[in-house]
Amino acid sequence: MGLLSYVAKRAAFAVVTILIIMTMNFVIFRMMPGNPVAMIADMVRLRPEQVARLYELFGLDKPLWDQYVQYMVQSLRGFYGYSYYSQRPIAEDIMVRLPNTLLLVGTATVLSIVIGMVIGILAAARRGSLVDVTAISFGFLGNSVPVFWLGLILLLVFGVDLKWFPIRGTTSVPAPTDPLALVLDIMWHMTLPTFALVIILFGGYALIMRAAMIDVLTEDYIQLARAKGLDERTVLYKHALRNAMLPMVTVIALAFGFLLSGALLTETVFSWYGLGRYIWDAILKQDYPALQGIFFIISVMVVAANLIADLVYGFLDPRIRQE
Amino acid sequence: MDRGRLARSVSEFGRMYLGNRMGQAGLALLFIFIGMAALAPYLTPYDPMYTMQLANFRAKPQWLDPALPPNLYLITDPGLPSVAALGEWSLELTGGSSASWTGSEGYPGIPLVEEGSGPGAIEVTGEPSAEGTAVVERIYQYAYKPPRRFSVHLAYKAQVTGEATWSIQVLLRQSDGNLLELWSSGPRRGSQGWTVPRPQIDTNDAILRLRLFNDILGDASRMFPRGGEYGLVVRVSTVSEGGTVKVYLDDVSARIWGESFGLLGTDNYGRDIFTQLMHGSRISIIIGIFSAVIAVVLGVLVGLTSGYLGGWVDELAMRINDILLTIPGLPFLIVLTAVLGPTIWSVIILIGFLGWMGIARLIRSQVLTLKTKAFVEASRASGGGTWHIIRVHLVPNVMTMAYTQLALTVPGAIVTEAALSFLGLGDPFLQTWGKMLHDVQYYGAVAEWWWAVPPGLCIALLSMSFVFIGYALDDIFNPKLRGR
Amino acid sequence: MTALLEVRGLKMHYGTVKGDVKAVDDVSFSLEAGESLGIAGESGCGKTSVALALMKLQPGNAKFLGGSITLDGMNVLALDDEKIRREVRWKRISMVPQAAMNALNPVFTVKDQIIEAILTHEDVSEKEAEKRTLELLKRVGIDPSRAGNYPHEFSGGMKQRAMIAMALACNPEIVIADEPTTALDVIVQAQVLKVIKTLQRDLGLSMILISHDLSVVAETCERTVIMYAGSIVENTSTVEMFRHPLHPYSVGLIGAFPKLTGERKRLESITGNPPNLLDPPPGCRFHPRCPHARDVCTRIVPPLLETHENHMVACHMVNRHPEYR
Repeated sequence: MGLLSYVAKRAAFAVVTILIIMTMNFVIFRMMPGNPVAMIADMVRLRPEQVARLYELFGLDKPLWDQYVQYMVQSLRGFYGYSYYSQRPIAEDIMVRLPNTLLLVGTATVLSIVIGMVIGILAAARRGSLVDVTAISFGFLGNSVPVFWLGLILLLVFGVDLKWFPIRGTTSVPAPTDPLALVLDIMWHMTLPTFALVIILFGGYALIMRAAMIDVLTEDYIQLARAKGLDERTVLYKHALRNAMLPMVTVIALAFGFLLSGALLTETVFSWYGLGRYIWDAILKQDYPALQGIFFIISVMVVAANLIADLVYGFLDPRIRQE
Repeated sequence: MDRGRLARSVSEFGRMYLGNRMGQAGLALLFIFIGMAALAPYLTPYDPMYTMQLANFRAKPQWLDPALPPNLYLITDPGLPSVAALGEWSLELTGGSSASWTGSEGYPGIPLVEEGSGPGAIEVTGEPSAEGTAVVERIYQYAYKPPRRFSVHLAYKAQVTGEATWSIQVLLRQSDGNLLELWSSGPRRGSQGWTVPRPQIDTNDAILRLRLFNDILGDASRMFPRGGEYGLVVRVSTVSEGGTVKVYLDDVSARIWGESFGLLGTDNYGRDIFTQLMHGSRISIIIGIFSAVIAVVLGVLVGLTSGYLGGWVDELAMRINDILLTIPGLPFLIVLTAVLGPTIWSVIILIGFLGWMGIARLIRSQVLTLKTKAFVEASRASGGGTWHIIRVHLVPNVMTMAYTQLALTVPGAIVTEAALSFLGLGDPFLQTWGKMLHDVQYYGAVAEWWWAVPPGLCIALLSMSFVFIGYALDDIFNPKLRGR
Repeated sequence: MTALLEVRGLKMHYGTVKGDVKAVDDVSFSLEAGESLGIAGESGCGKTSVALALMKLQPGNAKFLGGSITLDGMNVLALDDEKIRREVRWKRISMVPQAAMNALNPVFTVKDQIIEAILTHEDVSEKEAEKRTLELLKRVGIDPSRAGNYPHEFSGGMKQRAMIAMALACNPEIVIADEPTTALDVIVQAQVLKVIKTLQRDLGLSMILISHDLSVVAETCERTVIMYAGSIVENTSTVEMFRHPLHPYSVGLIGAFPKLTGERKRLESITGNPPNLLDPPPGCRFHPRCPHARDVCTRIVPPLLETHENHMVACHMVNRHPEYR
């Protein structure tokens, strides 16, 4: 019962967040100087009746409230309008690219969390050691080094100079037809962008894990676990880790948004066929509807990630289930 | 706090800060960048944005390869202000032509386009009823690798009385004796005022390249394929059918565009990259500090009120906080800046307004702790009003945290602005470090590491200096965390 | 007869940036089998440090500078960590820590935490361990149906009882109870103390109870040790301690402790503050606060001597001031 109401509360929060994001999207769209019809009319000099027809087509002749409702309904149905540039439904454009972005982001997330956690735990257990210094240094680096620049440098060294990895794209052109070769080809193309993201991200995770572990290690129950005669590994990995994981879960969910942003920038550098590259093109071509569609999709993904994190948290921490 | 105690506590703080190694490193780095920002106009004479064509586009740094040509001007004194300036030219006359220096004519320039050099020109006179040519040549020893761009400028004027034709040719005599015709006026009749060839004689002109090399992709490297003696030749031919003709030449100059320039070369418009790097520090520091100040002020305000008042105010503030934390920052910023228009101030304000959430939470939790402390309860019991308690007891106690957060928020703001600029959403009238990286990406110049590396390194180091300062402050203000 | 636990001249300092904190300085006492010993003193006087040292659970910056801890003829300080972990901790010496609410791991059930202790030290099946756990919980007055709950679902008193059950899980010879009732309200305090007292008597346990609260010690222990600034100042039976305290510090402490049954007299209290253990005063550490301090007290550390039968005290003045007899 406790768990159920907790889940319901978190889910409700997620839904409200998405509705608010959609509303903001609508408001921003209206705030834009001019409107899409005026822009088109400006570009191709339409006759007044054509303009009126376009207003009707875009639904701009209706009161603002109706437009809002219509916008919300269409967004929920997965229709975000047409791209100015490609003239195709934005949802289609996004759906083609989304899997590539998720592939990159997913791989980088898993790798950086695993590496960050292991290094963070070791750093907390052995303060002042080489591992500890590494964790702190990379934490600082992750805070200061722009991921796209690191991408450029990796590209410069390993792509242009050493020629170990391809300098652009998701697959070779033409892509290999053999499935195994295709997978290997994609992995080969993914190496540098993933590497850039992991280098920037894992230090931050390591620092958080380290701080959480250090906090937990001063708790009375850790001393009691030692007094009970448990060996150091059980103390560290069973008693301490399970508690230190709690702040990590929230941080990981919040960082998912950051990671997506980082991925957008990294994709641009490596010409990865994903949302990032789409954003770059949309900005260059002032394709506002495309930008908003992407913003909405990414927001939904981040909200979903947060919801999942909340649920994992509820599963890990018995205290939550009660409230 | 009286003045003496304040002074003591300030000096105490200074002592502790300077004893902190991370603090020293951060401050030293920051001073370097502040120096860079303050001295930028003195370190470099150019404008980062508008001084273009300083050398060929994407010239390499000067120290990289001494064999690359710097900017080379073949003619020392193109304005011909005195007869002595003719000394660098060799003169060859055939038929009924004579040539001399004149002080009564001179290219006046074209208003708003280019300036002329004023009085002083070469005067070529064709004798009546005779044919003749006057050839002026400037010999030049070229000793570098082939350049990519070569341009020639000249201004001419013709005065004809009666029947006469004239023509002007500009040629390049290569080291193997081959003559390349760069430009020709063609035979003309009649007088003409001061004119410059249009389009300019420049290997950037595709028609010229096509005519000279039969290849639109060729460049000036085919004009100067190796070191040796080259000559810029201007040949004036006159044919008089009874009349007289006088042709004036002025402002004859030729430029081999530098393939190497300055400390860090040039960008796609021939702007100095080193200048952009120096000036970029100003924008980054301003954006970083201003948006961090906005974020911290907002965070402190929200944290204080929601923490102290509690109740529905707190609930509302924290829900808004949660929602804003959930919204992915960079995509949101992209949409907002794209729509609101990317000026430096809108970027600063947006970054500030999207950065206060974490700070508000920290401040709020500290206020919640302070609220239960005896001195606050005592003050409340003795009738201290809300405002009094916030001002006297809470604000001073959260200020140390606010300073620390200020230092720790700056790096995020700097990196975020760089990301926006990198995506092409920066202020179009400012050349920031992020914009420089945008150019690198946009023009596919990754391999030009002297262009690609420095801006990112500066972003990283400047951010790092604030990270160091922030951690040092944290260390000093929260001594119980020492050793963490 | 040798005592079950014998501590001789134990000296332990904590290294910090500012210098060594002289937390435990030349502490000696012994504990007989079945005896209950109370260690009392102001917070920060080194009580808990002594307790931690008995199980070698001292923090990482602690340094042993001398002394010995002998458990049943075996020098604990000389044992390697692995051996201590397997054979001393919980199996022979267990503890009820300060603030039990924080000593139970919030993410595991109470039952699992006790079972874990049993399985670590004894080669029994999980089922057997669970059976024993439920019995233990029943014994301390917790309904076995609540055994599968998480710590946050327990009240403060229940957590403390669960801790006591856990402390008994491996049938230890010595239980160290460190401020077992501090965070509890008075009524629960009394209940928990009763459980401790009953169990100690019924099981014939040896117990060391650490408290800053003299009344807790008086109520529970047969013998009382009073510590001040890292050293023991007095050690005698509880009855004797409360009737005839000899050390001026004990006198002050007991004077500050109102007697419900005694004659009404003005509450005596000790002026001043305990010393900074980074730089304790020379000689007797109590001398700056002592009303009877003489020149000798500022220079020479008074040894802990048995000045009366079964009554040890560390004070230069003890035999010269009849009024403190």
